[in-house]
Amino acid sequence: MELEEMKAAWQALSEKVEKQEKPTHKMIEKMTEQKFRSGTNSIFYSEILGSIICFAAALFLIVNFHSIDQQVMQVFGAVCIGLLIALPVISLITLRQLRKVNVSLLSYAEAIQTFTLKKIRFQNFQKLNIALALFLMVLFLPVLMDILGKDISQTPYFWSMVFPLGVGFFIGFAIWVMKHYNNALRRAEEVLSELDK
Amino acid sequence: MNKKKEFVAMIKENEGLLYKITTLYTQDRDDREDLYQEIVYQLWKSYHTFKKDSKPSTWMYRVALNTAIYHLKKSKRKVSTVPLDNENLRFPDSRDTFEEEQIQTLYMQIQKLSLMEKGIILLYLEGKNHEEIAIIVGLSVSNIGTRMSRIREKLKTQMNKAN
Repeated sequence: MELEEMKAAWQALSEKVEKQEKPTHKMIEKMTEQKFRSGTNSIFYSEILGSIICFAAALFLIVNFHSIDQQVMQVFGAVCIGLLIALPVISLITLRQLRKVNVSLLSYAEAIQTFTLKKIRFQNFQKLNIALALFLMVLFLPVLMDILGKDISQTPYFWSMVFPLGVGFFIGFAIWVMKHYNNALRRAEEVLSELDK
Repeated sequence: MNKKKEFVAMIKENEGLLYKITTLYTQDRDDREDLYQEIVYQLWKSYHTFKKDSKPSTWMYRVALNTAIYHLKKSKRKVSTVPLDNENLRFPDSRDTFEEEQIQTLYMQIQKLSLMEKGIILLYLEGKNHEEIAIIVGLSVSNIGTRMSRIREKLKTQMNKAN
């Protein structure tokens, strides 16, 4: 199909569109009044849920901080509280920046560039987040055991099986997630390089 | 006429544009309806920035195309939207005619293009000249010309492969 033929097919489509049933005035008015959920909201919801879990865990550690006996565990606990609060806050801020844009002020090329750059920033942060989450898990477990009054050294197979299995599972998960983000980043970079052609 | 009535009348006059953009930038009906509503919402939100000396369609193309970019990679998860009567937002169904087949093929091939190419070809097919495309897209007129030749070649190759 040549471009001229495409134009003719497009024209035929335009005529069909004109004839079809359209949203009523009332429906359009409704669309202007209600802020409905846009595409990135599904990510936003999962981030909010994740943040609530992190804040709840941080609150749990703060409330039980007095019952942590060993000094080294208190340091671990303090680091955990810091990470559990900071990570979701940064994540939500980054995501908010991804959504906050005035689409009427940008040209199409600028919109592609801005969105892609923000997405790259968000994905890079998510990669860092995964690495820090692993670190958090390594610190959180012994602190939790201490709070529950359990001696890790007395728990059967803890160091020989439970802990290595947990870390192994998390590393596997992190590799899978990283692969996903790397692919998404590669695609985003391709979009940016195409703008310069 | 009050501002909202004026806005609704403008949307009604240019609905075809919204339908074509939402179809090109989405994969399924639900996603298309979500994008349609998001575009109307964004248009209303930025209606005050619309300068009446320019064509409403030029401004609408810009906002609609930009909104479509920010709507990309939508999760399949259903989210709450303004309740719409699907019957009232019905898009044409494909029929087994040569014309419909051509339209479907054209859509499929355009879907395969990059974001930038998709935007340019859409505006070209909508009858915009290189100057108008350059204004909406934000590139120089000569750049649009170069890209148009590339898109023409790309589409030809894709069509040949498909046949």
